[in-house]
Amino acid sequence: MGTALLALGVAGRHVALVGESCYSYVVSYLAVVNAGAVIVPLDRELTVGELVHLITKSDADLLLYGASLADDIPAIKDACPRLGRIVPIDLYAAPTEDVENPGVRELLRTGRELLARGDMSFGDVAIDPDALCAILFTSGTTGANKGVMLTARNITAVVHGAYSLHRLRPVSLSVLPINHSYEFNLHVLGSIFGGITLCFNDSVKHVRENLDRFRPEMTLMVPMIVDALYKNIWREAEKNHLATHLRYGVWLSNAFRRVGIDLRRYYFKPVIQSLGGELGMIICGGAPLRPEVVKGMSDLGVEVYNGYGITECSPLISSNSALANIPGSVGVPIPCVRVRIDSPDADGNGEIQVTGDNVMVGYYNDSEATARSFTPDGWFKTGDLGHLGRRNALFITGRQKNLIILPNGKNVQPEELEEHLLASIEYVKEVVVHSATDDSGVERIVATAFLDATFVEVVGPDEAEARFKADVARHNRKLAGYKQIHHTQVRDCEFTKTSTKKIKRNEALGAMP
Amino acid sequence: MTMLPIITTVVLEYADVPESSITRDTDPLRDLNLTSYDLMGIIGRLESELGVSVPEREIRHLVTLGDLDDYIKAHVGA
Repeated sequence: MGTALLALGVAGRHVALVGESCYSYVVSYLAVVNAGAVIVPLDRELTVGELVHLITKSDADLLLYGASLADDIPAIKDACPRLGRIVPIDLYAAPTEDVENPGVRELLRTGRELLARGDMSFGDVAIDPDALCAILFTSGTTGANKGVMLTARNITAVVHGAYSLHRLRPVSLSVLPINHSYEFNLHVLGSIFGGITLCFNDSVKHVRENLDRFRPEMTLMVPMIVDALYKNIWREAEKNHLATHLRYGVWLSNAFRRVGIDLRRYYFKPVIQSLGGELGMIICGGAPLRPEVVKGMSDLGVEVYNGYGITECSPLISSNSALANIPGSVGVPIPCVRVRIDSPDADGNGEIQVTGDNVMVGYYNDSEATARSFTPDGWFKTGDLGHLGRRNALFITGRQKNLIILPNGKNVQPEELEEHLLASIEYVKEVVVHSATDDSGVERIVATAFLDATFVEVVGPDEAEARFKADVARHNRKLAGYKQIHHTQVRDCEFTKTSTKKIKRNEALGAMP
Repeated sequence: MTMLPIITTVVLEYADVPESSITRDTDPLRDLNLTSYDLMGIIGRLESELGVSVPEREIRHLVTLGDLDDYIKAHVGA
């Protein structure tokens, strides 16, 4: 495929890739970057408008897409005249008659013919480890989103660093969106690096079935999925009147473990069977994970290692592992990374700053944002707050920026949603989008609004609130699922402003309505 | 024919609420506090039981259980 892409003149160009997790996605990604082109992986959950915006913003010349995007391609093609070629990467699609836009099977055939004729151009491409290799977009679709520029050195540094800490198991299951650096760099490239078998979960709808089908020994997940697996174990136990029995088993097993006897895989075989039968390790990242879930899963025989990263760091910064699993922490910095805490307060908490081979080159076409993200001495400012504790483990305690980080690892820029609401609902005078924790401990997106006084007077406060809720629900339908606003609340006075008339956002942060 | 009774049965395996509180207007994420992962699991179960496919890119348009019911009715057996 790389040889065929080179024949299409892909070298040095930007290639957008959007599709479902599958073998041909991996082949496409590697063919592009090893042909000396720049890959731009995009989230397939985005709307057509959002995809068009990012394709344009990344200066992509070519688009490779998976089967689930097929219906949206005509609209994307019309809106992105710069795209010279648009190539379906579905290996099972019908052959295309379009000579200008060959499918992946036609590309593979062309590549094989060129190789047979002695074309060795793909193998001869010299990879510059410090040249731009990938552009990954942070959250947001307006001016807020930024294209993180990564090099081959950045990416290989985290693969090597991560697996200096973790011992890979022979079979793993890929569950997370493949466009994320966490999934692709750590899991897909990590599996190739470690020589293990990686199985693809075809849809989040089928995680349970695919655990049974592939019987993985490890996987990478986000807190929302680990949390759901853990809750499901206890829900099933309650349903089958076995919860007391299971609690006693955990107590007994822990007593044995204290004297060095580990019977978890034997005692909790039915539980582990419900996770496919072989699962023993979950590497978790993307959002905060409750320590009780880590302990609860460990008690049942499945070790969960929580880590921390950010796309700008390719993404991994630190991780717990079998070498050191420190409760409440996100582990120790991986070998290629140095971490420091800027201006720590009395408790030792300050901004987490990072330097190392994993740190991005900068933001694409945004030198101002790049300059703002680094300290004068070249350390990357994560915007997260925390401290380094015992055994050099990193503890996250908060965030300097407004970014909402959801339990599924997705990040949402609140300003983007606020702009949309202000523009589309005319009676909304002020709105702050923020997150709040609901009764079940899950982080949700909330919109708190101050409505036009005349509107409220005419329709009445209750009706105004109901209309706001209904209009937000309508607005949600236009958004990618993870950006949808979960709860609404209305306040009866304006937000307090700073001297520059910016809303003091912290005032909006409150309990879940 | 409405699929709501089948949808309700599956939803009740994920949400700890009385059956009477589930209607066509119920929004599983906002009214039942389910996660998007729960919702995907529910749709996966309905796909197997009803022999219908709900593409992931369609799911964002299905806000209420009534929306899901309408989608399934329109596509079952298709």
